[in-house]
Amino acid sequence: MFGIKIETKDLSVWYKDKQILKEIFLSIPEKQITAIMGPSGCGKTTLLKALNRLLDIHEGYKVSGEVLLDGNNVYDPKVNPMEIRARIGMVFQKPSPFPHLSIYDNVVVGLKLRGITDKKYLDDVVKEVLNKVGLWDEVKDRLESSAAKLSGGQQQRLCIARALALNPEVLLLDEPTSALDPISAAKIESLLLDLKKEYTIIIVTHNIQQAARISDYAAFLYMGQLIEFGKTQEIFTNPKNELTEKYVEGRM
Amino acid sequence: MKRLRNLIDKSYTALAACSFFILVLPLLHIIGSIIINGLKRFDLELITSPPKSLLSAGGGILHAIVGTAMVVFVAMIISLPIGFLTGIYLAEFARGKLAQIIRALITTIAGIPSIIVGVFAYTIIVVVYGFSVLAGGFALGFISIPYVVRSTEEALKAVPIEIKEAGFSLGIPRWKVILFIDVGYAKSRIIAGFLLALARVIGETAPLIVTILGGINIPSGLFSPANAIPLVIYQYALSPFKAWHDIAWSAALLLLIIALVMNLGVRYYLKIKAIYY
Amino acid sequence: MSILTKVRKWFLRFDPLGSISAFSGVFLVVLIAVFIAALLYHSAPVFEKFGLNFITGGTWNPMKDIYGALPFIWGTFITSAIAIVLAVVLSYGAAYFIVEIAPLKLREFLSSIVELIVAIPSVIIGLWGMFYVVPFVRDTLKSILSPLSSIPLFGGTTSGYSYMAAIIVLTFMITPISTSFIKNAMESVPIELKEAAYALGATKYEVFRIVSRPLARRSALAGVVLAYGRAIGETMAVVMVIGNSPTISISLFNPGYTLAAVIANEFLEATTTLHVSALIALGAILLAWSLIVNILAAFVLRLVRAQ
Repeated sequence: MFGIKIETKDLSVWYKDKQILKEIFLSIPEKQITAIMGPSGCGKTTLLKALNRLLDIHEGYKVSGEVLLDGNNVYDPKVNPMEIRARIGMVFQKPSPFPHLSIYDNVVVGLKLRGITDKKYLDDVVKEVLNKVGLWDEVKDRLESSAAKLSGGQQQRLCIARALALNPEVLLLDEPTSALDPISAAKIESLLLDLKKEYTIIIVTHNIQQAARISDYAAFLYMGQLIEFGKTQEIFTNPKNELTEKYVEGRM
Repeated sequence: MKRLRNLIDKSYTALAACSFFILVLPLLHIIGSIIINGLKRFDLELITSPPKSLLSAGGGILHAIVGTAMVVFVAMIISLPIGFLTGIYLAEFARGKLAQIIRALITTIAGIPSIIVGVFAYTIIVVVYGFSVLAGGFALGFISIPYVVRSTEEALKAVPIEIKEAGFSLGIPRWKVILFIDVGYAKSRIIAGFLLALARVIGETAPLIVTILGGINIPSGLFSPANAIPLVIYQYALSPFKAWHDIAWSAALLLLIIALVMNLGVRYYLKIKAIYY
Repeated sequence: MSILTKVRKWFLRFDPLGSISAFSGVFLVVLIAVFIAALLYHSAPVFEKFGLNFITGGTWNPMKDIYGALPFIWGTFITSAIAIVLAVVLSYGAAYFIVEIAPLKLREFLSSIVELIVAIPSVIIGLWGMFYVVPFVRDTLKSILSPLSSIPLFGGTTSGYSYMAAIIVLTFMITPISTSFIKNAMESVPIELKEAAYALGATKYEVFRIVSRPLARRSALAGVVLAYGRAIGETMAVVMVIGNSPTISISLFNPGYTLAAVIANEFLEATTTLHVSALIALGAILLAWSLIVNILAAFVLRLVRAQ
């Protein structure tokens, strides 16, 4: 059994008067891929953004309960949310490289804005993380050109590289392949399988096959409630809940 | 019945076409007459030499070109920081009563007739420092603040939410996300807004009448009286001499070129619509 | 929650840019307060001397230090009122032409031509007005309208410098503003609604009357108010063509004055404290006028929205 990296305890989220997440208890194992599945509008993305306190930046959200990162509650008033976000990297549904920055700067912007200016160090980071996401050979000759010129798949891998540059412990991905073509999506999937050696990965997906292919653990969320959580194999072959069964069989 | 309805439809079409041309014909006439009258003195002397003396007709409007440059420069020094910061406030931080007040205020400032702003600059600057570049710059700066605020606010609000979230997920403080990610993303629109604000005030005349005095000298500094291209047009147009009328037309041609180039350039290259308030 | 935790929480939420930018907003509030205070302070002498007679008085004679604002209030009122009526008519027509009649390909081009007018500095329109509109009023318009000269509004003789010339330049300057509001509103009317009306057999004009015009009303109102605000405050184009005579005339062919125009024209010549004070007080009246228009507009818009 693996250690627990992130644990949610009685986590509820409201947006204005509407409760979006209802008393979620979830334990995310370390250095594994955990998939969060569910029909659209079930609260998957909200759950993800609750983990790294990204909901804080939006108006109208209220969070109760705990999110433990290595056993420490990230919602403790003593905790600086910025440190949490730096430890938990995030990649979004729509590839969102900063179009006004070069490829190079996209990777190191987080470091630069932390005051790290050592050129040699930044160069090394760029090379390392671009290699990790398999982009180095494709872009090494045009690091200074705009990130907006890359293809969708390349942009998404650049976003993963941008998150990795901060050397996070956890990587959150919000439907990272849903805006991509199948070939680019496959590249990202195999990349994630590589990355789980070093990082704890949580991926939100509405693609059931994708969850089956790459995840070790899977959670099924329905109308804000965690219906079932367990090993992916278990969830898919022997679901305990009728709703889960319907969902994984594509009957929902 | 059907024929009557068609007749009404046709006549409304004709009236609409007429209205459009009533609006556009003067525009063509203005541009035509300024080009024809303006070309007479549209020469090198116009932009390279100051007037010969207060009473003779020779010379150019170098003094006014320098004056306009100085006054507009001071205006931008005043309005860009205040407008930019207030725009950031309204787009990113504003909530509650204060935000409502400031928002209402921006609309109010935009609706104040510019001559009154000139009078305001007179009461707080001219009475202390005299007629000066500073007073004119203050008035024009004040006038341009709403434009800078609105364009900054709108540009920042147009930054996609994913970009903002991606910025925050880097684990950096809000002010860094705003200044380096959001502003960077919206850079071209913000700059376009600055340029439109500049284009808006470069042709302002009324507030300058009561703040910079005019005259024929090239201003020597912040506290000296000055002239400006639009003010020269006004003064020379009212003069009794044909030669001065010619200079007024040429100055108008110059000002029109500057104003239109800035407006059209900004609008077409950055594809944003003209902003009126 | 202990005070220490609260302080710590505040510290974590504190953002320097938030404070600095809020400060610049507050600075604007203070600036406006100073603005109004300064105008009132400098207007005080003339109100002390004349009281409310300053507003209702019809005589303006700086030589004798007698100041009454009525000629300017009348001039501002009559020129802006007629100009806004003409502008509303013209801008509905022009917007209808751009949106419904002109080919789609030309639409963008035509509306940018109209918007171009706003970009022309007003002193240039004044210059053109002096040399072309004033002679046009004197030589052409007066004779065209001579059958109407028994009506007081069009009576008398004219030098060309007149309310009429001011109305013409004002109409030309403010029409693009209301046009572009109406045009934008008409463009955003859902195509399904228009199609539904066409399906009932309506003509183009009828679709406009039943669908587009009512739906565009709110926006149109906002544009018209904005245009009106511009008309009462416009200085340069008016001061160069209106004739600058502090009198009250019924005939539009007579010379007159507006609040903005007299400030621009007399401010530098004002030698006595009372004269300066009177001019600043005219500014205060004009400011109040434009503020009332703005507030009324906000109020009306809220009413329309509530419906």
